[in-house]
Amino acid sequence: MEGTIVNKKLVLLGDMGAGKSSLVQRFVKGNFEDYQESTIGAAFLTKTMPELGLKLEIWDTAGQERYHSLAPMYYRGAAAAVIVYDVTSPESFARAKSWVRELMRQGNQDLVMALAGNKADLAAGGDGSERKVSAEESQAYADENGLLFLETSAKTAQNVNELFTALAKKMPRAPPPQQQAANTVQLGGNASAQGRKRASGCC
Amino acid sequence: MDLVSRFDNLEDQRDAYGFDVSQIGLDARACRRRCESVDANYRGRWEAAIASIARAGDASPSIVTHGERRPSGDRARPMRRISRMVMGTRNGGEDNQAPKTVNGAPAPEVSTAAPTVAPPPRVDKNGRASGSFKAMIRRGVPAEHRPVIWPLLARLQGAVAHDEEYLRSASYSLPRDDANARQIEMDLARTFPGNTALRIVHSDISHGDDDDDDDDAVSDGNGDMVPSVPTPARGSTAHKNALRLMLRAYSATHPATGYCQGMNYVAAFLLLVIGPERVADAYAVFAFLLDRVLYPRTYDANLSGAHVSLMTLGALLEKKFPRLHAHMSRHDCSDPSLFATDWFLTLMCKSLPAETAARVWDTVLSEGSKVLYRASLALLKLAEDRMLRGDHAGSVLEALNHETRDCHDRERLLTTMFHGIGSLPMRVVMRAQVKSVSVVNNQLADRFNRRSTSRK
Repeated sequence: MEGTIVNKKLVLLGDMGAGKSSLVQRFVKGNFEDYQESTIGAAFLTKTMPELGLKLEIWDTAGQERYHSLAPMYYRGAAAAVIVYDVTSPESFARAKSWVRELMRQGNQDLVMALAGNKADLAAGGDGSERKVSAEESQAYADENGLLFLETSAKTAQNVNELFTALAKKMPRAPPPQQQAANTVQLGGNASAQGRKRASGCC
Repeated sequence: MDLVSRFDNLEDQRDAYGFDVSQIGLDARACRRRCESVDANYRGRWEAAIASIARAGDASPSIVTHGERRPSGDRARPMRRISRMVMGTRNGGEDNQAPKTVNGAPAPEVSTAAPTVAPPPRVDKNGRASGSFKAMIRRGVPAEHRPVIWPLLARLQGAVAHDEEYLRSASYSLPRDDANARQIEMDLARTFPGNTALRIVHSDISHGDDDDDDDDAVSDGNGDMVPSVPTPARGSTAHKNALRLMLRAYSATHPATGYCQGMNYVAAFLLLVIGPERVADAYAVFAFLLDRVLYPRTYDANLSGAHVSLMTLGALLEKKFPRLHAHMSRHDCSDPSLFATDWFLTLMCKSLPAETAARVWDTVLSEGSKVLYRASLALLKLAEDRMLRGDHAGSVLEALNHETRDCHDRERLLTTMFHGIGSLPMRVVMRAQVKSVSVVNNQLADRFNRRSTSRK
């Protein structure tokens, strides 16, 4: 462990084509590609945020439904999760909600979650006719479930840094007591009843 | 045909496959040059071998045939001919049982631990290259000969060849609203988008909004308007069309599997190597890899076969490199699904530099899936020192990522694969696979139950 930099794991989940990889690329590399490679399994990137004393280990997961069976491995031990949907796709919003439910079941009390309505640039232009999921609806859902919520655009960079920074600030500041973040299976001690029930069984 | 000539704007910035290599470091560049000169040393032997196949006539380089073609009884013959040609041996008997001496031409000096006297060149009962021919393939099939050799290797092991017409009718048979077809359309633009041959160059950007999915809707050939797919531009259509054809044909003929992300990279890589004009050959190799090489059900609904492969790799990692495995376990990153998912789901073609991946595929096609475990273990071994220095999951896995992405020294990888990780008997691999199967089944069932209860 060098100096005051603390490693934190962050995972992105969401429907295929919602823009998870594009958000990460915008945040980590500061650019945007019209055509993002489809992710296989998960891509792993890091981003240091020195002003917050953090190094984010970012797991950008594959969105295709059949890759769901791999997801527990990527989100276990995560300190933060970004659940991404596409504001022009109600299906992707439904999928986002199911991710939220799944993460809540994991019982990691410290997990900070954010909901990101991506491709906001499509909804913002002209008469906004392409928008299919309203910001109000998402905000209401986020409030109900205690999530951060922002509409983002990886393409225009709107709210991208804000999203990750807000999440980073919301993470528990103290370094986790002996790697508890890394070891999902919380043995006795600090594990809540809920946590114990759901902690194992990842592959 | 010269692979290089397929890409007109080839510069120092692109490798022979059209991938961007402008960002690679000086070391990697030196590696590439060194490896290229090694490859050149063996070119002559392959030329002779290919010429001999062409002369033989009965083993046309193209395996495109009308309808299906069963592996014929003489399927070993072209192999022997290649090998004999290469080895310079004269053996009248078809069965290679005559006492074999390396007469005349010296055995090619295969990399370090290969036998000094080459065994009789032949293919084994499964149609896999063996003996000196196997060694020759391990040393690398020259890029310009892969369009011939890869389909040949697949055919020798019983790959079924279809002609392009068959692929077209299969593709057309997909239902209008087929979910797989829609996903294929979406992924065409998302498969190696940076590659010269596959990238989308907007021929029409008058909209000024090229991320916009809707105004570029495209018909998928049967009247179904598919959103999210901008019109492929000139110059990239040949590869795109061939890619679409391969993925749709596979999806149509394998309804239980359909289309799974990962396949797109495998098919695209084959097209880059074999060429879109030989799409039927590329498809034969594609179907062979998916149906016969990868673990069964690798791309199925919950990727169960991929889980088995990953867990098997985990067991082999623990057995072969206990120290590295312990280190990774300590940092909670020893589960291969964290680092090796794309190794199995794209046969490393998305993970390794293209020519390195092609070298691995040479051996996968001649020796089978076990080679993928060898390649995986070799990468772990090459990255081991740096991984051991990592003090948390992120830095450990980053070291492995770098090793994989920058593995331009294919000679080093291949040598490590076959001589650096000790023996890896098939029975050890199979035992690990069998053990994994039941674990994976239980886990998937368990997870399914939990998901369905939570949905109530």
